[in-house]
Amino acid sequence: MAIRIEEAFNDCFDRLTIGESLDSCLRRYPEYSAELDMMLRMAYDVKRRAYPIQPRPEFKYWSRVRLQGVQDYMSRHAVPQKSGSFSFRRNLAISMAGLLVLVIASSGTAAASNNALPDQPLYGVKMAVEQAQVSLATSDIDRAEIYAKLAEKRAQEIEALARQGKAEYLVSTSAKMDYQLEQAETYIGRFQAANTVSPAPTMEATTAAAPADETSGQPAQTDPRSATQVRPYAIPGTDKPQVPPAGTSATDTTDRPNWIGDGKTTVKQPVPASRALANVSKAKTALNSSTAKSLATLQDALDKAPESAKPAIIQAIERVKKANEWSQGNSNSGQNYKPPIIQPGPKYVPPTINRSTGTNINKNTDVNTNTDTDKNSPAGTIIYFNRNTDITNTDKTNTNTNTGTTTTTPGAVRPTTILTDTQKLAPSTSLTNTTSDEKSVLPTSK
Amino acid sequence: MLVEEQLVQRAVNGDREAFTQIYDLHFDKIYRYIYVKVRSQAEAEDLTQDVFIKAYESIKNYKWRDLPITAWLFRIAHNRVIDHVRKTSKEKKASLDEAGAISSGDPVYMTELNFEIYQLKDALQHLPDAQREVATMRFISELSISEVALSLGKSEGTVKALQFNAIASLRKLLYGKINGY
Repeated sequence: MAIRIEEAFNDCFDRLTIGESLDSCLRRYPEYSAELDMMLRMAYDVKRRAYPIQPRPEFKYWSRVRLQGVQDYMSRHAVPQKSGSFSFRRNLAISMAGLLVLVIASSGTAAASNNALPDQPLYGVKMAVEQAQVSLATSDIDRAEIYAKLAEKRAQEIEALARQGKAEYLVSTSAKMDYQLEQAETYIGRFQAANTVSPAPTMEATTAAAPADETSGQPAQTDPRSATQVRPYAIPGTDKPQVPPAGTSATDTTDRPNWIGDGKTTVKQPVPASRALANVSKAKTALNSSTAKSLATLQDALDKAPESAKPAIIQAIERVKKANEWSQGNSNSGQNYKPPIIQPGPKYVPPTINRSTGTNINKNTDVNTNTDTDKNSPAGTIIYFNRNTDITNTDKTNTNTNTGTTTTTPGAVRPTTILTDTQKLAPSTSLTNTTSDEKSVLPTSK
Repeated sequence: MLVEEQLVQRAVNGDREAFTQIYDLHFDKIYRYIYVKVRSQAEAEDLTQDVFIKAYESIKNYKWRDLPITAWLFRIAHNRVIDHVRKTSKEKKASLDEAGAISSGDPVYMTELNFEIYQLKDALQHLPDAQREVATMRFISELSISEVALSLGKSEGTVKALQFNAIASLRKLLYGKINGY
């Protein structure tokens, strides 16, 4: 079966690319020799014309610098892969969570799981429903109230477990309660910090006010979610601060780069002071009520619990007492409030329980451990390529900009054949009669 | 496993040095591909940077068995150019002044080179989309037939036919009709 001319052309083009001569190629396909000769010359004419299209060395250099900046930035912040817009995914997640709640609630499983204990199969459903409730909350105050109620549920579970003599689940349940109380306090604190009425600080005032770290001399790190915090813009990989762009106010939160917070927090306009106080008061009242009930429940549990379970219950009681005192002591004012350091989405790590003693042997489950979550100072800016920066000599010279060494190589641009007007008007002659320049482009007979 | 595939796997696993090597291997090809499709050098430079930033952001999800890295990068470039052209289609056409090769220092020589590039870009604009894509990838970015086929999601036979027709069309556009081609 005769080979098609398209196949022959492609074969010859590939052979020419690896160094075979034009004549040799044409001899392989004598039936197409004339057409292939023209077409291959044309293909090489296109290649020749395109050959001088090369990126400028300085552009390549700065483009690589920018890529490294992006790599630095992404490695510091572990930017999640985005398959859609954030708002779309968030809305979808909320919708799905809502749907899940509806489906579970309507099926009766949720009701059945409401009294489930950690050793029962439906406890997982109970946890999922609770998580969905938290996800559906629209404000920090709502989240705080939900967490307070959830902590109360954990206290009831502790009481039930103690009554049934299931000491091995007490530590994990107590740790969950601890975490939920912590979250309740945190969300109240965050709302309070974000809505405390205070004069808008200037850039200078804010940075000057930041106490210096005694060991490093750097400004001490503060809560990354503080609504009034100002951080100098920084180039990735450097410690050199940059002045914010002109027109950017130190307290301007509208156009600030998204390095503030953990990506989940939206900086909002503060609510009016009176409403903020009312909201805080409401949340603290809920927490106070919840912790008071929890205390009574836990005291009851302590009386019923076996000796091996009592240390865990006593610890839980102490924790609830602290939360109760916190909710009473800060009920009306945000002025003296010292916000807890907020952990960016801390995950509850289930404790490892020693079945014989009922104690937690996993030292890493202390969810109260407030480590500084902002050690990697967010880098603010991405370097944009400056087209006017001339860092290399582009005149047939390859410059190694990293080492500063310069080497000159001949022929940065391949010599070209410029057809005369006559040749362009009579292409059959110009293309079939190979010029000396064309011979240098097309491989000749071997 | 091929050397390039190993390199790509390292990049997928978060090896920055491996990604930089991929960047070095493909940067010029991607730049040339974009350059002939947009109006100016500045646009080509911006888009080329965007392609590699986008590639770096997405490399964790990349799977070699679905698409070789060259084809994957050219798909990103293709989509980026499409978006860009859609946004700027109402703006003015490229001028001869904007068709720039690397400066050689000789203004006459540079003018001739730029004129030839300008002619080529203009001729490519007159090709049907499929022919233009194939001609650009095959003769300007110097991809293999299989790479072009995978990038465009076409069979190799189709790509061979398209490249042949593209060359015939370019010949007509640049030099006039010759012997029926």
